[in-house]
Amino acid sequence: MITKEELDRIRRGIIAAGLKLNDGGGVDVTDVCPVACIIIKYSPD
Amino acid sequence: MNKNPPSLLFPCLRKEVRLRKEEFGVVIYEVGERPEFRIVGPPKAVILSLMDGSANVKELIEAVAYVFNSSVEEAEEAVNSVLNEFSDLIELRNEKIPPQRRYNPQDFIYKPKKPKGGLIRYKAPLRLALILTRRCPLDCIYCYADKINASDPEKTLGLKRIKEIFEEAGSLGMSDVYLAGGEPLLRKDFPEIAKIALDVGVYPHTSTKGWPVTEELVRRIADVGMDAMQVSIDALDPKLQDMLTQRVGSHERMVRAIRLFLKEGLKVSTNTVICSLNISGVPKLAKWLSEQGVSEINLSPYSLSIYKPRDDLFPTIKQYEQLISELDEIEEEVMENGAVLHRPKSIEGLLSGLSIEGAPGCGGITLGMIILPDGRVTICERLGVNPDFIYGDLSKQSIVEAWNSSRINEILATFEREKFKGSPCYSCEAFERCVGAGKLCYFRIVAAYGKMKVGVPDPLCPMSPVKIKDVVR
Repeated sequence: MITKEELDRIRRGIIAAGLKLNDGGGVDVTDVCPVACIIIKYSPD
Repeated sequence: MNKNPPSLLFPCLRKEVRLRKEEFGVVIYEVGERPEFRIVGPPKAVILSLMDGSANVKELIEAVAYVFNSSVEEAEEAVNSVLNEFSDLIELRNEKIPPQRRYNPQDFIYKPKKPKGGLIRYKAPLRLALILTRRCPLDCIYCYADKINASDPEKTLGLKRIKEIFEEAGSLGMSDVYLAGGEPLLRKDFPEIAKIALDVGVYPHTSTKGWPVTEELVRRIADVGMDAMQVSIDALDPKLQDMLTQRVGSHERMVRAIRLFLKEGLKVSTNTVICSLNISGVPKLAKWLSEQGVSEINLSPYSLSIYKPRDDLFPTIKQYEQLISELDEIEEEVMENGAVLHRPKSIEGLLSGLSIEGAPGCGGITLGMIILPDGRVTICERLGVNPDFIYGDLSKQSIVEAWNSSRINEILATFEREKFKGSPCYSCEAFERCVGAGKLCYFRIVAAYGKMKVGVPDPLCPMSPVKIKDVVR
C-alpha cells in the first residue's frame, strides 16, 4: 500500500498544479491518427 | 474467478501496459502487435499509476479522495470509471501483491496543452517498422514494395546497431517493431534480431512468404521466444499461387511454412491479397486455412503500387459482392474452427477508405517510424527509397534525433494551410479535419503526379485535378 508520505507528496503536487479530479485530457483521442500503413494490416471493414 | 466483492479486489495494471506523458495528454496502450492508443487526462493517469496490486479498490478510492481533496463519492465514481474504461488493461486480483509500481503518479501531475490545430504528433514514435531487407526471392505481381532481387548487393544495419536502436525504442516505451521486408527471413540473424526486441520489451512481429523457412529456422525463432508468425498465401491452387509470385514452388513453401510454425507451437496468422485473379478462390482458401489451425486470417484488398501499377488486378464491384456473400456463408464454420476472419464485410466499408472522410491519417509522420535496411528513415514504406521523404539516418542518428530532424519539420510544414495558396484546399472549410489531420497522403500524390508535389489536394478529394484508381476497378 502506498505510504502516507507518498500520498502527501502527490497531494501537494496536485494542489500546486491546480489539477481537479474531473479534469479531462488535452485532446480527444479521435483527433489522433491511429495508424502507419505498414504496421496495420489493412482493415477492410 | 474472483471470490471477493469488487471493493476488496486488488487492481493491478497488466505487465505489458505502458503510460507515456505527452504534451496533450497521457497515452496508454498495451505492448503487442495491434496496440490501441488511448489518450487520458492526468487524473486518470494518476489513478492508473496507483493500480499496482498493493491496494484494494476501497483503499484506492480513499487514497484518490485524499490526494485530489475530493469527496469519497467523487473518488469512487472516478475509480470505477477508470476500472470500467480500462478493464482490458487491468487485472483484478483476490490478494494483495508486493508493490511493483512502474509508474510514479507524480510524473502525471501536469496541465496538458490543447493543440492549436494542425497535426498531432507524439514526442517520439510509439511504433517502429524496420525493413530488414528489400531483397526478396519472389516477385509478386501485386507487390507494393520497392524490392530488389535476392542476389542483389545491399547495405544493411548490423546487429550491434540494431541492438542500440531497439534499446532506445525500449527506453522510449515503444509498443512494437514490425520486422518487414522484402523477405525478412532472408536475414540469417532474424531470430537474434527478434530476441533483442523481446529482451527490451518491444513486441516483434513479422510476415513471411515462407520461401526461406526451414525446420531449423522455425526452431530458432521459437527458441528465442517469438510466439506468433504471419505467413502470406493467396491461393489454394499451386499453379495460381506460383503465377502470382512468379516463382514455381512458392505455394509448396508457403504451406510448408504454415505447417512448420504450427508444429512448433507458434500462433499462425495469414495474409491474403485479394486481386482479380484469385478473388473467386478466397472463400475456399480461408476455410482451408482455418482447418489447418491458422488462428487469424487476414483478407486484404489489392491496393495500388507505384512500382508495378496494374489496374487490371483491381477486382470489380461485382466480384467483391460475390466474395462478400460467399464469406458470409463460410464465416461461421471458420469461427468454429477457432479462427478469426478479418475480411471485407460490405461494399460501403470497402470503399470508405477511398474518401477523405474515411481515409486514415498518416501515421508515418505522427506515430510510427519506418527504417530502411541501411538505417535511413522514411515517412512511408510504400515510397521506398524516394529521397524526398527520407528524413533521418539511424546509422548515425538516434531515434529521437531523426524524429526531430530538420527534414521532417520541412515535411510537416507542407501540411500547413499557407502551403496551399492557389489550391482549392486553401479556403476549404474541411481543411483542419483533412490536411490538418494528416489525411494528405504523399504515396497517393506520388502515384498521381509521379513525384512529391506540395500544396495540391489529395487525389482522393473530389477537388483534385488528378485522380487515381484504387481497390476496385
